[in-house]
This record gives sequence, structure tokens and C-alpha cells, in this order.
Amino acid sequence: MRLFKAALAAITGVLCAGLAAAGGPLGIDSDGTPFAWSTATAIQYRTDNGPLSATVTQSVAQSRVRGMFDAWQDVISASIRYNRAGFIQNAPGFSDGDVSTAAEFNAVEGSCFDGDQSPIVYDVDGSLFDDLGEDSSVIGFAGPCAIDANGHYFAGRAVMNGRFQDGIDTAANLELTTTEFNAAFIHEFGHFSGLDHSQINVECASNACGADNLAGLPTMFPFLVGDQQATLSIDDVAWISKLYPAGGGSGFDATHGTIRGTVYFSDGESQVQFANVIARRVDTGGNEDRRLAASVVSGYRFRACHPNPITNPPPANCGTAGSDVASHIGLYEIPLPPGNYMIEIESIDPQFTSGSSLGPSDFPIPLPVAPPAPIGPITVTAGQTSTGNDVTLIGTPPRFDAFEGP
Amino acid sequence: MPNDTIRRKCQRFLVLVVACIVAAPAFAQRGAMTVPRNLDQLTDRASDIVRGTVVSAHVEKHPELTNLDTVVVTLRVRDALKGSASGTYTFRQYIWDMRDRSDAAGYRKGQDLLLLMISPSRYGLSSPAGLDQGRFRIERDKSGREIAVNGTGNVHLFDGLRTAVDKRGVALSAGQSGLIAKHRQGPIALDDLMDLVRTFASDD
Repeated sequence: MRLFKAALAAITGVLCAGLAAAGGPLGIDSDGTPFAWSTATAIQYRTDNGPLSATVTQSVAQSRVRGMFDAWQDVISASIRYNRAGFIQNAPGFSDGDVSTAAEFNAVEGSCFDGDQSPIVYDVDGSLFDDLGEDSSVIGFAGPCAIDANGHYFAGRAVMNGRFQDGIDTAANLELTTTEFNAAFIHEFGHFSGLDHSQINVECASNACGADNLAGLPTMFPFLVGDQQATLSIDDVAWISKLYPAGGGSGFDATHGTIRGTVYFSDGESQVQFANVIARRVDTGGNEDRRLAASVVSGYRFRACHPNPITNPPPANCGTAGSDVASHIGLYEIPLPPGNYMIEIESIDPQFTSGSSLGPSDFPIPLPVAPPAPIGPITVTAGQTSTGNDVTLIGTPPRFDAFEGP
Repeated sequence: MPNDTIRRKCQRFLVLVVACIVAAPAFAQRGAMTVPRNLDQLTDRASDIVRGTVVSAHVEKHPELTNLDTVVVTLRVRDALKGSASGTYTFRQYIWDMRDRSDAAGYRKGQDLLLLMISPSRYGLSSPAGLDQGRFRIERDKSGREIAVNGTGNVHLFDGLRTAVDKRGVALSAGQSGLIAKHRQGPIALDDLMDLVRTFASDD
């Protein structure tokens, strides 16, 4: 029997933003534009020339990594592409293609910062994680490591802990199934590609939540709850396509539209940042709304500073990027396949904090009142944006202008 | 309605809401996937468990592994629940996320923390056990009671703990037993958490 099977049903995802986070894209520049890789060419990643673990050979690992990237590349409405350029190339202090020591990792980390390569490192026995001072509970990490003046990521890296794939399953050396491990890194490669976490069907984070809720659970949900997250949800597909829109008959504009609106306090003027906004499809019934949904955090383009004071975090917690455009404070935009959708809002769950956070703030800021009833249905048409789908909270004080900061 | 009445109502509301959020600083050790650890496992994995106030936190390159970004954090130790920390406690943590470089991975001067730190590696690098799971921020609830919450909202903190306690023959008070039986997520009274940590640490 596998140890801690129940506990492993919820692998904690602890990746959030580089730069300013958002409930769709990972990073936002000062104009409110998401950071992304250039799609002029495929992202050139390089893999370790050593085994992933005692039981997973280099060639098998290489194939699995390709599959993890393919999960994103296979989205037909997205233009992001990945290409394995070979084994990790030499760098000062590293020459054998197999990153096996902290000194060698230091060398390839430098080459990633310089934009020379995007290495995918295998730590065959967890000893690299040990040297880096990381706990044995860490499955791995990933993310962009270099960004250019145009807001394009141009290098990234991932490190995989082979200790979770070595065939040994003890309390001190937990084992993940192949699917669990792959799902963990499909999620990580979502971050590598520029995506943030999404909160949909949040009840799945800490409770049994049923097949329909699980079916709608995004790969980019902060916690990895089950194997089905190795398959992208419509939220994952919509956001990777929004960030990297493909053209043509199967491209983003041909397959997706957008619902846009603003979340307001009761005065209908002061905007609410940090509300989680979910669009749920309501065409056919049968719990379709639980399976087919996409989301974003209101104010996802806006800095986590100087919004309405009700949701304004202390200055020490201000984000370092994002826009100062006033109309972005409570703005939400959700890419979706054509259909009819209801819009609902909710607080970001309190457990999604720090590294598992979503949206511009690192810690959840609750809505000041209970969410209003969902609005809609709103019809999404391919290639079009449905605007003015505003949501107004009920029962907040009428105005906040007297207290609004700069 | 007179303006001053509106203002008072707004101020009361603002105080109420801000009270819920003002003591909730950002913690970030981003970019990782971790498996859940319960409190017994976190305590067992930690070599030093300290409650203290952050005196300084700054990002710098590792002195030997010069391409690696690290955050160097110093706390004024208030309690050492495991290990021999006293006075001040300093650790160096590797950071890989781009934002960690600009916000010192969320460590900020003045933060009150309970940290369950693993033993430093041969390169002097360390981190909280389970990353954010072993990093508890301490704040006060509306009644003024000190509460603690880790970077995953204390989810899974007590999973499997009853079994572990029984297996090891650790004696828990009725209050401790009740807590681990009922708690699922969310803040915990700091005193209760520290009592449990001391219990597990003394049994290691």
C-alpha cells in the first residue's frame, strides 16, 4: 500500500508570480500588459544528460519532459511552442551535461540568468536539493529566470527531484506515481510558460468534491488534488491561448471570446480588487457549470497598491509591478469558448497564501460582504468581447472617496 | 445622512476589515511543489525551531555559489523550541523565483514568525521544513489572542497526527487531542501550536 496516499491526494503547489502576480498571467508590467515568451520561435529548452532517478533513465525522462511541455503546446488555439535543443550545454564550471552537484547547478543557473539556455535539471537522488538547503518534501521548482526590456521571458529552468520517482516509498522518501509527478510538472511548466494559479471549485482543496468539480479543476489550481489535473481544463486552455493567441481557423479569435467587467463596491463607483471572478457555462445543465469554467482575479492587471483602501494592503506588502491605471483596479477579463455563462464572484480562499497565492496580492483579502447573486447568462461569441458585465457588492458603505489614497 | 455620520460608519467598517488583513503579510517561497507534511513531520525534520522577530532580511548572492540568489534573514529570538538558538538567529535561504529577488522572499523587518528550520547544508543553505509549511506568521485576532498560520493556511497540518501520536506513545493533553481531531485549516492559537511543537520536539 502506498504510504500517505491520502495526504498525497493534495500536493501543495507553491508557485506564484515572478514580478507582479495575476489570476491568469504570472507577471504584469507597469502598463498592465502580461509578460510572456516571444512566439517568434519555439522556446528552446535543454534537458539533463543524467537519469531522473535510480529507476527513470535519461531517455525516459526526456520523453516525459516532452510530454509535459506537449500538454501546453498541444492547445490548438495557442501559439506557444517548445523545442528540446539538446542536452544542457557547457557553462563555466560545468561540462558533462549531467547536473549532479551544487557547483554544477550554480554554473547552469548562471547561464539561465544570462539567457544562454533554459535547463531542465534532474536531481537523481535528492542530493542537489539537500545541498541547496531544501527540505525533502520539495518535488521540484520551475520558472522564468530572465526577462528582456520588451517584457519577454527569454530563459527559464526547472529542477526535478528524482527522489519522488526512485521506486522507494517510505515515510522519509515518498514516492509519487508517474501521473502525479507528471501532473506536478505540467503545473510547473504552466508557470514556466507565464501562467499564475486559478481558483475554481475551491471546495476540492480540502474536501472530497465529486467528479464534476474535479473535472473543472484547473491544472493551475494551487493544490494538485488528483491525476485529472494532468489534463488541462478550459481555464488552462483559455489562459494559455489568451497569452499566446494562435491565428487562423482554429486560433484564439476563432475559438474564444471574452467576458469583461468591473467589480464595484455598493456605490457603483469604487472598484474592488482581489475578488475571484468565475464564469460558469450554463448551456446544457447536468453540472456543466462545475466542469466548464474559467476565472480571473479582479484587478489582475493592477498593482497591489493604492486601490480602494478597503482592499489596500499595507505599503510593505505592495507588489513591485502591475499597472497604476485606475480603470484596472476592479477590472476582470475572462477568455472563454463560445457559450452562455453566469458570472460569480467569491473571496480568494484563505489557504491560498504566500507561494500558493493567486492574483496581485500574496495573501488573500476577503470580500467585505457576502458575494452577490451570479449575473447572466452572458453570451460569449468567438472573436468578440462582451463588455459592461459589472458586478456590484451589496451592503458595503456607500462611498469611500473620502478615504481613498493616491 | 450627515457627512460625519457617513464618515464614522465608513471608518468603523474600514477598521473592521483592515483588522482582518493588516497583520497578514506576504510570505513567498515561490516556484516549488511540495508534498504535505504534518506538524510531527515538520518538527522532526527541523533542527532549529525558533519564534522571533525579523531584524533584517536582504538578498545577496551566495558567497561560494556566486550565481545563486539567497535571502539572508536574521531574527531576534524570543523562544527556541528546538535547538540551541539564542539572542539572534541567522539563516541563508536559496531563492529561485524572480520576485523573491525584489521582496526578500516575503521576509520583512518586524515580522513575528515561528520557523521550523532544517539543518543547514554544507553550503550553509537552509529553509523552513516543507517550505511555506514550516513558516508560521504570528498575528493577533480580533480578541487580541496570538494566532499562527503557515503558508498553506495550516491545511494538512494535523493530518495523520493522531496515528503518529499513538504509534509513538506521545502523551497529549485533552485540549491538544481535541485540537488535532477537529482542526482542518485556518489559524491556530499560538500557545496551542507551540505546546504541540514542544511536545513533539521533546519526543524526538
